[in-house]
Amino acid sequence: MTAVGPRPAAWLVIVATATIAVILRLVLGARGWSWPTLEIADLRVGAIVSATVAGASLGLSGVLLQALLRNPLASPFVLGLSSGAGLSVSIAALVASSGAAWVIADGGMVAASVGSAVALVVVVAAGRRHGAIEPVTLLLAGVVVASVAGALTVLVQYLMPPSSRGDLMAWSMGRIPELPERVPLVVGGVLLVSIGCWSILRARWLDAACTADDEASSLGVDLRALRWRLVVLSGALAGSSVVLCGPIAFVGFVAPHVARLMLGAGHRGLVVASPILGAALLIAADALRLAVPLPGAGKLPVAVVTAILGGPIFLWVLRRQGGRGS
Amino acid sequence: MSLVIDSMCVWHGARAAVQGVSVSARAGRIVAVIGRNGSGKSSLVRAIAGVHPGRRTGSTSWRGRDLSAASALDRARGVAYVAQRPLVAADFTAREVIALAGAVVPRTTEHVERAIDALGVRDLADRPFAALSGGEQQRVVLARALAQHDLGGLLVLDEPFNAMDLAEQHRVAGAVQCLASAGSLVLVVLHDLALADALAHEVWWMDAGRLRASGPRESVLDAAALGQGFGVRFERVGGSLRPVIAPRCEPLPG
Repeated sequence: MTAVGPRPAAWLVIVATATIAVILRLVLGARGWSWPTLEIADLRVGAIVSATVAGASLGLSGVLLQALLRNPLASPFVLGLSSGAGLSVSIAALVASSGAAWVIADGGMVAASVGSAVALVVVVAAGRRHGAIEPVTLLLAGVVVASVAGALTVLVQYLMPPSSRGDLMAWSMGRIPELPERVPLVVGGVLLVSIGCWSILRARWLDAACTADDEASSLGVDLRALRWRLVVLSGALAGSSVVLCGPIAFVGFVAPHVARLMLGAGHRGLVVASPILGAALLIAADALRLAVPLPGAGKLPVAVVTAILGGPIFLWVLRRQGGRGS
Repeated sequence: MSLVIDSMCVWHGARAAVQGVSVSARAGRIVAVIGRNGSGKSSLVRAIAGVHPGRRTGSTSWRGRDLSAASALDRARGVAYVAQRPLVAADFTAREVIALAGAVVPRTTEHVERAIDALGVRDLADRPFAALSGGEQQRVVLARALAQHDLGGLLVLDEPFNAMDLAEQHRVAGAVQCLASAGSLVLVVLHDLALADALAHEVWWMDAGRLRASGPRESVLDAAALGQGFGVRFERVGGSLRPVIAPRCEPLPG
């Protein structure tokens, strides 16, 4: 017994979209269109793998958070993770600028991990009542933590020597590494696969969690345990994505919505389609940023492209479906 | 007795909504839970169904099993519940909402289809739940409870008739009677005392968090006692209970 039918045409479109995004990134490099040599192909595949893990993690994290908060406006960054990571990386960069360069020698990965984890712990501690996760309180705690961390980040950047600000700015706009560090990539991949499997097994519980607390409980869902798991798992996914590629907004918000508009509201489809669409969006954004020339041989930050690409796609699908699913 | 409630107390924060209620009921009966607003009816049935989120003490036993200590999954296998105001925060069709009966507890498509027919919601099944009227939504969530419910189980309904028109009430009341005839125990919170009189075998009357009276319908639904408790005159006409509604226009203050 399923909540949503198989909708083969929609699945075909989703898989085709992901395939086109991968092909696009394979033939687009820093110098524009070119069929890659073996060495260059390695770099492009590296970027595709990085974007797949980060984009899929954001897509899955978004759909889990939207179920947790019963709010379609939720995205992985409502938990304040990217702001926490941003503050932590800024502090590390400030320390590095005063001589301890080793602090940020890993590209800020350790600092981002610590910042994301601390933000998650603070938001969860502030967002629970009587030992249980309370969605509205959690959302408000996330907004407050993000605001405070954002303000402190500005302060730290003000204290930093101007020469060090460029790297930090580049990190805060996201980047898809062509030679990803092994540890965050493997950890991110393992988290994605294991949480993905858990989400498929618990998809119908997520459907039931869309009803009022008392109804969900009467349907057999242990809401207290489910909410704890959702906040920790979606936080881990978003955190691993921030560590790998920096803060990339919009993917975790838009991928579940597009999936919902194409497949309906049942989570059996959503928990599979959202990561695929999240990965496709991030790969396509990375490819397109290489295709757009900027003055001075610079390239667009990937987070800017995800917003420019994702926004119109979302509005187009929303309009085409007459608002169903939103 | 199949359902035994012992010294039930329920709190909303610091306020005691139900205080020391001990009562029991047999399977195969319809029990109407009546009382004025804020008397503790909903809190009592939500605690019995195990879905009250706040503090509660006392015990609920159903067919010898202690429901107070059961997990959500175990409870869902024996008890189905319909909330006063259904909420579905997703763009499900009515059929998808009914199919939620099998989200955690194993249910087949046949259970869903049978419930759809029992509540007469087949013409609504493929429409978005959010686009249905209040009464139609209530029938759909009742169908979901029916799909989850095994005959002989406990069905808890919190003011299920509120948004329904007369034809819908008639249909749902018939389905409730069929369930009780088949051995289920139905606890139903009702404001309409005439409906309670027509439908229930037994009545629990809640007043200020305490059980004011309980027993067979004929003894609890006494017109004089009801008049005193509800502040409205009741009369029996041809054996049927009805309130005497005689509104008076009184000048508004100022």
